[in-house]
Amino acid sequence: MNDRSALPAWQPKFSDWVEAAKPFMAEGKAKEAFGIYPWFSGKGDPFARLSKPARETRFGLVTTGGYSIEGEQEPFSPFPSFDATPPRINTIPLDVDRTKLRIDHAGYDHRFAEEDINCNLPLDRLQEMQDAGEIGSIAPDTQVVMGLQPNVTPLIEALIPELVARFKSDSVEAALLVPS
Amino acid sequence: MSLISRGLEEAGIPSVLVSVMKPLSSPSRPPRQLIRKLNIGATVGRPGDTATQLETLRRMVALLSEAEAPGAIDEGP
Repeated sequence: MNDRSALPAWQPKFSDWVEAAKPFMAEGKAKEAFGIYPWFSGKGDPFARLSKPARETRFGLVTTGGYSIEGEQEPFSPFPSFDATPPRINTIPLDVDRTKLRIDHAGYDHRFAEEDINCNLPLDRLQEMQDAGEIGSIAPDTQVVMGLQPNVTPLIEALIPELVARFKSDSVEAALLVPS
Repeated sequence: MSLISRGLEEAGIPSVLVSVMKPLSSPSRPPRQLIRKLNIGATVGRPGDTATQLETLRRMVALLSEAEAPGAIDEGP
């Protein structure tokens, strides 16, 4: 049992919702539109245990903060996408030139993160925890995805397998997820 | 993010989510979540508040280590 197997039953509900939500969205009434959103309910409750102490574990970070590197990566579209295009993942290295980071995300106030990146991309704090021996290590790349994806089909079919592949390639053993 | 958390677990990678909006993060049943009374966009802690930022991350790591079953929630202060 997995979430992918629950998609066929959910997709018609989503299609109905897109039609029902259109008039609300056209008037900018996102709250009303999402008030009738058919939440996806996956099958089963997956659970993986941490197999060793945190001080020996390699951690990976995922954020939905809308980050990209100016001049190197395509900026995110700041609004949710309703179509089936596979959502993009941007990679932010630990030693990124922070003056080149940009945020495109309509869902939160950027002032916090612009003042201190650690508000939703806590690279300094994780580095300190690594240096203090509280965690084994932090993966060299943070994975940035766009939040609020109403169409979960491309999320489940494309984005999550890609995230898993990237984490496995980085030998990530546990994931910290920080939404915005 | 809850679905990402579930997908990672399905692939054998334990995960933990910090949430400042429990009603939005809970319907999809994430395996582990830390609920914090913080702002959207400052989910780890406010600018310059190193102590709160560290507390959030330490509690996430603790929940990863200590949770015994899916649906684990730390809703402490």
